[in-house]
Amino acid sequence: MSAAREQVLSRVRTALGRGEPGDAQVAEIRARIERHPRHIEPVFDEPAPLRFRQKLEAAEASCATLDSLAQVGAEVERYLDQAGVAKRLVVSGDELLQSIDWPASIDVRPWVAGSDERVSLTSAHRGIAETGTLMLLSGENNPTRLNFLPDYHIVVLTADQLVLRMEDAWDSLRSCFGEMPRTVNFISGPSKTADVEQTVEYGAHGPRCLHVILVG
Amino acid sequence: MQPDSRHFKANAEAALREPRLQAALKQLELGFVAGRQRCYEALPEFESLRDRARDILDHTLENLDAYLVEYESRVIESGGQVHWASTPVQAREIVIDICRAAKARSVIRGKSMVGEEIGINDALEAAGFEVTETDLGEYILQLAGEPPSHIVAPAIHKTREEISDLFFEHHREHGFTQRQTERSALVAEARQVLREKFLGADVGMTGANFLIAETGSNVIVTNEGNGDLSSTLPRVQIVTAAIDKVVPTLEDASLLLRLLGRSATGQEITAYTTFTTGPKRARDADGPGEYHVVLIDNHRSEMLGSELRPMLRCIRCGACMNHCPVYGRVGGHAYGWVYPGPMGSVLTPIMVGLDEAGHLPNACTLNGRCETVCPVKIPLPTLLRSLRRRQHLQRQNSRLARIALSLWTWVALRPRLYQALTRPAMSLLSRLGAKSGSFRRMLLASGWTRVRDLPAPQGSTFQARWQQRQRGRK
Amino acid sequence: MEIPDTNSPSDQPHVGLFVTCLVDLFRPSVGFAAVELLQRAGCRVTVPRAQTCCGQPAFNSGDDWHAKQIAMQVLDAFEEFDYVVGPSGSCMGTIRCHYPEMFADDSRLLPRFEALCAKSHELVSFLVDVRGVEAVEASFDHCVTYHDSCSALRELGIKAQPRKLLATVAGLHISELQGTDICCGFGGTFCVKYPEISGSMVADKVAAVAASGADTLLSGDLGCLLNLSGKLRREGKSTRVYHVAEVLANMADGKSIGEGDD
Ligand code: SF4
Repeated sequence: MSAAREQVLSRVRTALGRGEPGDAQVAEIRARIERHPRHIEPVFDEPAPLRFRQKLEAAEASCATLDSLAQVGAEVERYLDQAGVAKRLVVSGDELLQSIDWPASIDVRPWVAGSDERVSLTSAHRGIAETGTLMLLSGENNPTRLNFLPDYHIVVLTADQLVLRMEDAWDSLRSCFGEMPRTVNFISGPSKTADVEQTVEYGAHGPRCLHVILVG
Repeated sequence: MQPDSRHFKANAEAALREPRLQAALKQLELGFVAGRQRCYEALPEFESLRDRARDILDHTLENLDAYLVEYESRVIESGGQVHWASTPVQAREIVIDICRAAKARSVIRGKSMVGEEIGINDALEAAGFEVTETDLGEYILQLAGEPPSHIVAPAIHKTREEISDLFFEHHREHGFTQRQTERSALVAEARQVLREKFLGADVGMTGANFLIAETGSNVIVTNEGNGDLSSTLPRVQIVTAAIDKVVPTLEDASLLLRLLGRSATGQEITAYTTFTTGPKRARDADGPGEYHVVLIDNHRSEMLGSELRPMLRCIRCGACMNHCPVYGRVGGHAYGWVYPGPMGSVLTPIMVGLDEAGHLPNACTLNGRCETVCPVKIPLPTLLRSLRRRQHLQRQNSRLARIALSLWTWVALRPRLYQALTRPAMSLLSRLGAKSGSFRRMLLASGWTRVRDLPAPQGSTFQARWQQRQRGRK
Repeated sequence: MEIPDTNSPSDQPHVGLFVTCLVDLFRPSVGFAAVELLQRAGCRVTVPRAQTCCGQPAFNSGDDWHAKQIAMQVLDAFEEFDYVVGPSGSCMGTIRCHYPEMFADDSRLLPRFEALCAKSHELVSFLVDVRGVEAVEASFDHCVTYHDSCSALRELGIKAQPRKLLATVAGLHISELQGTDICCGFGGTFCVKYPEISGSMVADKVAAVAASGADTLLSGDLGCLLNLSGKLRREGKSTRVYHVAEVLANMADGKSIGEGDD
């Protein structure tokens, strides 16, 4: 181990007035990590889908609610028409999205390295009602770049993926995967900046528009 | 960056005469301050969250070495590498070595205050790398060759006209020959220029809002998404983070995130909050092949062992400067180094020396507004007073001030003498000032009368008149 | 020991008035107004002679040794009273919040300072919170605005109390200041060490006073009042400036702070 490491750690220990942490202390720290206690969580009364939608819209994302996955193709077409962009999109390899029936008018391509990424369609792991936030995980079928490079990012989420708070999303992640994916993106609206005159402009580096399709 | 805190007073006075800066600073109350207030009112749990945040961070600091070691183990397990640096010099060397080893040419940076603290841009450029800031504010400042003036909104002092000029001058080489003046056009142009940089970069550097001991993750909070592109597209990712950024668990970070956005910009959550853990996994579709974390001490262990420890709870939200009446008048550059405002007035003297930054702890009315808004309840006025105590003990404060104060206390400790001296003095002043009611100029009080009149005393002292009244009653 | 005001029966709480140096030197009428208000609230008032300053200038300059000397002088002079009351949020904040802090490591003196701290109060909050005063007998036919001093507001949590009593003053109308939680730029020695910054802060405050439309400015701290009055005079404004105690005690008939004969 490096000399700097020892130096930093020994300075920290001197500052704390003790030597290396004993077994008991380490055990206590690990136990706290293991327990990962939840803290004060804000209460809200609205039903989760309503809250989720309101918060997203407040952050200038758009949101559509559909009854079934079968309607997604038409909704995407409507959205692209309304946005006035070419009907071409890159779809992540997520299973949920493979069953969508696409109208012939949309040019749908699976993502491969080097795709033109003006419009992307991805799924999400969870939606968080408290803040209107999407939780997206990187993986084999889910390149993180699809969440950031396109101008338009469309996300399909089923109602049973909605949770109340970020802490619930962590619980779900722990139980589904047991480990952290390389990247966990919490997305709460389109990309924006207020670096010019403290006034918000959308589409700083990431998507200018975020559209969430909530199914069921 | 070379500190220039010695000239705080002159720099502050110049800033006060800069109308465009003054107009920009006036916006703070309407923007960030009002936004935080709205969030505060909308969240009844805000105060209990602050208490909890303070407790979590105190617990973490009390066990800092243990949590750092846990964190390090998780990073290594996830395939990343951890490097330790006591000093900015060491940190810079580590970063340069990583870039060289990766045979990198270009480096893109997401906004990182600790990166500013260690002066990484200059060092990388001197070592021959092309460095591009990608946070729009930081990018504007890179073009202008200026340091940030706010930790959250670094280019807050720049007007649209100045930005327009900078882009017009620097973007020509990228094929943008038309001068843009609209905000949206400026943002769009920067997006296009920077997109090329993102796609061509070898190394992406980011900071970390938090490091998670439980998982070995680093957390980046942005609205632009530049931090995400920086940690996704290049083949090497380097995270520079100070040792006080570690928190135990994902739940602890979740609590702090509830406070961070609200306190910083008046957002319940920012557009992007990203937890990154190690390099690209074998099956991942994208992500960097190498993931490095540089853990930097730079005097933090020293603060940990002193009465300034609470400062290490800082989550860099900027609320203290947004609410500081002094920052709101003089802006960030007057402070002369990386961190401005109340938090900077504590950190700068520690990091660059109390002799260099002696003004900063004193340039404060101790009005306490910063402490009431700090999401992690750092007692900033108390810490500033501690630094004044150090100055006093090291005799670093001004001689004149010391003498005046000693004289006052000497008299104040002798009530009878005090009364014997003040009675005639106040009577005399009162008579001299009776006609106009206040003095426009006063010997030995030029600091006061330079900007305002000195109201004349009413007459004799209260003590004198009271004793007279008591005698009359007897 | 000083003679308490004779018409006070002895079962009344005995208050030691902490005059504060600025009131003593610049505005004795505030001291008399404080005595008047305390007596009307059923207190026996004594003004110890052995008082000068609370030690805040030394404390805020990092000179703890001298600050502690002065704190001990205050302790000796005031320990015997049921209450210590002063017409200043700043000085009473020093006694309440900072004395125990200064003696945190002194196991012998700390309990005495904690006891002192527990019975020390800023005047208006004492009247309302401790004595339960609901209304005052006073009249003041003016539109006033109120500046919250930072120490009163943040160290002592005083905001509602002065407004509550002012609302009972006949003829008085309150027009609130914009940005009432922002410092006026006084800050003790700050205002002379950094006059330009202080001047810019007080200029904004004075502009807010003008915008409030009030003809009179009140506050509970003389430091702020001298700063504000000084700036108003410098700008040639005719706004009258009083300490809140003067209005509440119906004693705001004399010249206002900084007002001349002409
Ligand atoms: S000191 Fe507190 S208010 Fe200031 S930046 Fe740090 S956390 Fe935010």
